[in-house]
Amino acid sequence: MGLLFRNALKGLKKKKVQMLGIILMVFLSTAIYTSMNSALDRLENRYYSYLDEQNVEDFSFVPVVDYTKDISLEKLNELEQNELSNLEENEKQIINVYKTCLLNQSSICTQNLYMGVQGIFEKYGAVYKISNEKIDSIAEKYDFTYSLEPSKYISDEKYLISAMPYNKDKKINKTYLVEGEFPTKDNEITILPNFAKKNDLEIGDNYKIGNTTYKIVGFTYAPDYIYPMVSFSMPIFDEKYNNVVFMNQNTYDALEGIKQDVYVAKFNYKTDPKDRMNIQITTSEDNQNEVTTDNPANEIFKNEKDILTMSMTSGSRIMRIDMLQMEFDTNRKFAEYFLYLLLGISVFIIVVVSKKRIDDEKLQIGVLKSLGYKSSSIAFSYLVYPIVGSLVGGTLGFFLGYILNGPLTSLYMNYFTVPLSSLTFNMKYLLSSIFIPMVVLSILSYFIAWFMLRKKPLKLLKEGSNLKVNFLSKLVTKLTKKLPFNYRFKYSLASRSLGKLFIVSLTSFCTGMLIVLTLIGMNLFNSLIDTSFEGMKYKYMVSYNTAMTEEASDKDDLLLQNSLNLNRLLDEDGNSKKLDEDDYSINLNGIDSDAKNIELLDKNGENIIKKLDEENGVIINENMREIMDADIGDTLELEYNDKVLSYKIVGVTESYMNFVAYVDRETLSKDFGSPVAIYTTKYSNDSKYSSMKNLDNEEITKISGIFSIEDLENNVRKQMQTMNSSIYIVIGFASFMALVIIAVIANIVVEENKRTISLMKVMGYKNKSISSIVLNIYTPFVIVSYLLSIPAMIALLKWIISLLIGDMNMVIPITLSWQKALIGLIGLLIAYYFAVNLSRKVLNKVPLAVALKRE
Amino acid sequence: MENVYKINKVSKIYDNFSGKTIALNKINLEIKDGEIVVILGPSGSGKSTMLNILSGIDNPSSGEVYFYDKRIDNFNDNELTNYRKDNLGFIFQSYNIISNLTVSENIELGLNLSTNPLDIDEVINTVELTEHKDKYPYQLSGGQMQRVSIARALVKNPKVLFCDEPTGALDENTGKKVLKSLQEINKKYKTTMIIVTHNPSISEMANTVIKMNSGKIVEIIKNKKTISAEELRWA
Repeated sequence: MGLLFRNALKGLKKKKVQMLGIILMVFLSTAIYTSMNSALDRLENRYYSYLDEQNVEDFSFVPVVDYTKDISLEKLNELEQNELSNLEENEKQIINVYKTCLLNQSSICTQNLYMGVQGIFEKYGAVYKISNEKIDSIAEKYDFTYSLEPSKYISDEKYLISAMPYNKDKKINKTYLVEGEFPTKDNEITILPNFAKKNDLEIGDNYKIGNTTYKIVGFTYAPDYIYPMVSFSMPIFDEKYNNVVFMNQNTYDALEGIKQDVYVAKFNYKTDPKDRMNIQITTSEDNQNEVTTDNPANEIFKNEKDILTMSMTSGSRIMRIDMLQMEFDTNRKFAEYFLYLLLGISVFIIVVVSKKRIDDEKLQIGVLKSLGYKSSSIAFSYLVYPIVGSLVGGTLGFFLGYILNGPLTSLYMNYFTVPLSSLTFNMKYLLSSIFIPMVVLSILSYFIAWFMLRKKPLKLLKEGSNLKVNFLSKLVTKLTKKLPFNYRFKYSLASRSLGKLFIVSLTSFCTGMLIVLTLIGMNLFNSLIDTSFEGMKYKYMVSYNTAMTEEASDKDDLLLQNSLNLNRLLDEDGNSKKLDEDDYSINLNGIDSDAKNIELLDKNGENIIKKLDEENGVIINENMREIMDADIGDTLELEYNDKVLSYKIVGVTESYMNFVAYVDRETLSKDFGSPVAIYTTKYSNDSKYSSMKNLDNEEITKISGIFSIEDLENNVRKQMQTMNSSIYIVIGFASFMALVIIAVIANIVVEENKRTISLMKVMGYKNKSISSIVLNIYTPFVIVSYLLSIPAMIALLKWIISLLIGDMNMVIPITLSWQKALIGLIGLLIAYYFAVNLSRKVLNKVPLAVALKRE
Repeated sequence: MENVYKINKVSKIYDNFSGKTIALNKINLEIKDGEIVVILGPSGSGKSTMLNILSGIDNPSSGEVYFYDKRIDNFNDNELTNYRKDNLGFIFQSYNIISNLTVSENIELGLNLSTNPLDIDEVINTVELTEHKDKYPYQLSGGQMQRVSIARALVKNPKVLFCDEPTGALDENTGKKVLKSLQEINKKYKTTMIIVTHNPSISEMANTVIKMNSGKIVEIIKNKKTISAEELRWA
């Protein structure tokens, strides 16, 4: 057996290109596998241990105080001595009236009064005094610890800041020091390190918020701001403008900002960090009694709704802490699916090369069998290919994977504020990188070898004995009888080498798929963003906090926006169409058909906004068409208060995010009950909107926000950065793999025909003739295989993306323009011919006499 | 008779692991046009190297090679290819016929190269393969495959036919048949034949026998009388 292995090893050394091909395929696959998984592991492990170390909250809540019965007169008197000792005059009056309410003088105890009292209690923090006693009673029952988490929200031009007082004794959501020191003195401050980097700030610098200047003494992370988006109501998140700061209590008390105090709680027993995301965030009365998960917090919210309830910020708090978890899931799936794709192609190519090896040594195998060697022993000796390939390729791939770990981890990390751990080697990946390919490839190679070795020795020894003159080759011979020699020879060779052509076609198909993946992937998410922003010709989007009726400049476009639930989707005959979900929410936009700054472009690039002139017409987006199967001619029914608004679909605009529909603004205004056309948003190119400072006070009070479209687009591109970068890594590996496969195919093609090529050369054929007759027969098959790979890859990518997106109600267009397809084909042919010529040059180095000798 | 080949002080030296191997050592030789020449020698004597250099498959390390007074040892790859295409035919010990092509297609491969080929049917007839012309190589015996190789070489109407151990893989009867075909071709078409062999009995059908050993010509024998292939006493 040892001799057979040594023999196989020597054979391997002769076929360097093919062996190198096997090693490279294993190398690339294992490098991606190791790099992506180890980076995600590193981040994930660190993330969960960080949550543990900083004792991140399990849930947050606000207290429920029933001002009609939770406060006694004695308690109120006590509060007047402490928290309520500095009331303003009008506030004192409200409290006095409230006192009489507590004495049961009910005629003056109106809802407005209680709301006034609530406002005062919250303003002066008296609410917490009351609520603590109530909460204490259930904290022991449900076994949790809680504390008040004070914070203030400050909006300073473009900057959004969340400020918190630093407390070294904080038990829940402990502050993490990245660099420098915690703020202990007045006017000292710590900020986020990424914010500092983006704004060129260092420790020791001054930092201004409003009119006050602070001194930066350190960089910190707040563990409840792992995704540091300070305000979820703003569509733009940019780490340059979002900051989380800590200061001492005095400085905090002096800071002006909107109070966003909330209680945070931590169970005294171990909980699953994923439970936080399973909190039932609903205020609907219909399902208040439903608890759909085992999250213990849901029990509390259900059973103790008189004592505590979720705050307005609960949802955003969960997002800030747990968004990274969602990213892990998406990135892991991404790594998994694309990895399987590349691994699948690698395995196929490796199997083809192994089969080729065994095929080439058929004569030798026939001799060995004739001598008496068992088929199983001979088959085992061919495991040398997968063993060498896996050992070398797997080990190198593992190390490259770890070299890429650092950059990949930073990539996945992006703007999340989690301290990174140092890199540690996980031997699990080395073992997987070596043993998984070894086992898979060994099994396949053994099976192929065994299959081929089942032939009798004589059949193996006789060259061409497996040649079958089939119907196709007879037909080809007949059809080409009158053609010149070169063509006849070419087609005869081709029709009788179907097995070889099949192999070349399949490997070309795999290469084609990788090339198509590269071409589509290069612009996958960017094209989505390009398409979404293509029709926006305005610079600023001005949102108003109320419906406006005032005339606007005729250079501006006006929009009436609202979010309505879909009631039904009806087909042209009025029948209800089946929908996958019951509660689709549609962003309905009322817009004027003569809008100047916005275009609704369809798939052909045509602006279809004029179709809104049709009575009760609605233009939907591609997302709605794809996911709801809505189409032109269908009717959209939307719920608005107690009414059902009905619109006929007249067009589909090419945008892929969310469910967006457009109707005529005047029509929508009437449907909303307004006698005149109203708007809630203005699209403008007026430079005055570049800063709030340019606007008069009257206008400022009406505006809820101004967004620059350029900033929004840059921000969206940034958000897509992680996905884009992951795609680029995959296509980088894919394109390299494609080159390896092309080199292997070219080498196989030349190898397969080595003796014919050498014979023809000896006989006197020129290189050009030899190429034309012998090698170029494969070219049409390479081209056809590539063309077939285009729809195959598009279908596969659509499927993978649909798995990745899941229930996100999003569609990502997967298309390949004919120009790109042509570029891919030209690239493939250039690489193929280059590789063939290179292999020919290597062959030319072998003396003709040696090349003709039977091996 | 004019010389078809003249070689002056030709040497061929190979570099390998164990140092240098002198395959040919300052050989001088002349081969006349139209003759059957047998190059005889044991394994490693340099006879195949000699054949390779004469046929332009390999280049000498030193010395000069003339083909009809034209020097060929300094030809580039293109010139050597043309030289082989226009003048030579080859018959190999391992036949080297293409397994995916029929007998007649294999022969056509040779015909396609020539500007003045012989009639393919006549050639097929000469090698007695008419009834097998649509068969594939795997359906033929060793002798039949060798005759395909001969026909492919012959159809080009070459000036010189190089045969490297043409009967090496064949039994006595088949070997004699092949040699008989070669004799008839030489007689009919006046093709110069250079046969490399280790079988001394074949030398009796040759006009000139060149004996080689250790890269040198040890003896050149001019046979006054040659015998037919059928009468050869097989070694």
